[in-house]
Amino acid sequence: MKKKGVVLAAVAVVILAAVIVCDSLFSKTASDTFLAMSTAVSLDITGISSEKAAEQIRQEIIRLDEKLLSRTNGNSEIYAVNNGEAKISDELILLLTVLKEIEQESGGAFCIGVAQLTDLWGIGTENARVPDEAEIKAATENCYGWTIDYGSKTVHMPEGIKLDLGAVGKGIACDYACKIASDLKCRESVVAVGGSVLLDGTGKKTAFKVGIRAPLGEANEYCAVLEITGGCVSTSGNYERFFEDENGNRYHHIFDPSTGYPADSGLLSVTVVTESGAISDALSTACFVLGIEKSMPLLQRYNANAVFITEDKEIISTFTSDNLEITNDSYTLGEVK
Amino acid sequence: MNKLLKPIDLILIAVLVLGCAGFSLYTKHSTKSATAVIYIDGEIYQKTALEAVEKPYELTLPCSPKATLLIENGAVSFCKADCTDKVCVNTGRLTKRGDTAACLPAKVVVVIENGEKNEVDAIVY
Repeated sequence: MKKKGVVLAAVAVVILAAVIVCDSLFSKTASDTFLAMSTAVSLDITGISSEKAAEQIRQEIIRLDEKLLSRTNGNSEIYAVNNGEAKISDELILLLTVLKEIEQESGGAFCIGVAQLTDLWGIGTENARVPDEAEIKAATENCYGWTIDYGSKTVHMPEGIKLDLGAVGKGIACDYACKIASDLKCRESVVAVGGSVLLDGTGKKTAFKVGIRAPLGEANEYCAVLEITGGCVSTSGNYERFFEDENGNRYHHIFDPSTGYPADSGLLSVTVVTESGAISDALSTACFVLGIEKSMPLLQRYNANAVFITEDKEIISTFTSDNLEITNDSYTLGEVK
Repeated sequence: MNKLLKPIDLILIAVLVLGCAGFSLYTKHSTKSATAVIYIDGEIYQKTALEAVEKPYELTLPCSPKATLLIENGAVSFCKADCTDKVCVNTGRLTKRGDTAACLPAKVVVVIENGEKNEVDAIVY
């Protein structure tokens, strides 16, 4: 009887050891940092295939940038679309369909047909300037006129209009990363493509903490912490790229496509959380242009949540106060008016 | 009469369990001190253990446009850069594991490996 007990105990101990080893293997984390999509990308993937996933995600984000979304790389599909009619892949058709829908749902606050407007202002380049009204009118007139021809798999572009997926490329990259990580059964993934972040903890973690950048501070400084169980988080803010004219007027890089001027909705930044990075990226831009009140129906339409930071340093959120903590005293919690 | 388990078996089991626990602890909590890893054009240019820095110094990188890092005890930052947007300089000081700053025109990325963990999993901007 006693011996049987000893054997059972030994078996239990061996099983425990096996569990410890398996847990360690499944908790293997792979990290990587590289430049793509005009930003730094960092990956932290945990799972038994974490290294394979990190490598595949790196390759995929570089492919997305170079072959599909870049408007400056001569090998990309968007470059081809912008430089004469070209047949595009089903992959790009799918993405453009989603973006066209958000353009319509946002009443035109989000639009990708604005590359010519971005170039005209040149914000972030040596050629930054305030264009005259005639130039702005010409650059915005037909920006909503691009259409997808599903039969011939081409994009019809009005004259002078060029597509720029810069506002959503990072979020699209998060979506592709999410698919690879879940196909390879990774239990935890944190993928930051610049300021657009994928947090996926299907396997293990119960909640993630996301710092929202303090708009008037340094880039690594945050003013609020959002606690979420997962999803894609994107921020649009007026602080990252801007220039000042000779009179000290400040012009930032998020344009209202309907006016052709930098959006002026009383906000410093908008952070949006949804299941899809492409959608959270597009909505953060749209909400920045729309302002708080007009953003609400759009957020509901896409089942999204948002955190707005106003010029008065008020933080207004659709999250409950349990999920959002203000960590910087110069910001206060406001309410939706 | 055969004993089901001899003392040697028990010792082996104990060693096995301790080994596994040690392996698990090692993989989960391998805490080394913060290291700034500097990449230029995708290649590692230099790794600097930040705890070992006694006096702050500037490090001008062989990149174009020119960029200079300020390396301090426990921190690294871009202090000067000839790029137009200055996003790298505006990023500020990197101190914790995973903190990242990049100068795109110069193709430079600086990331902190190891060291103290950040209170947040990511920062959106």
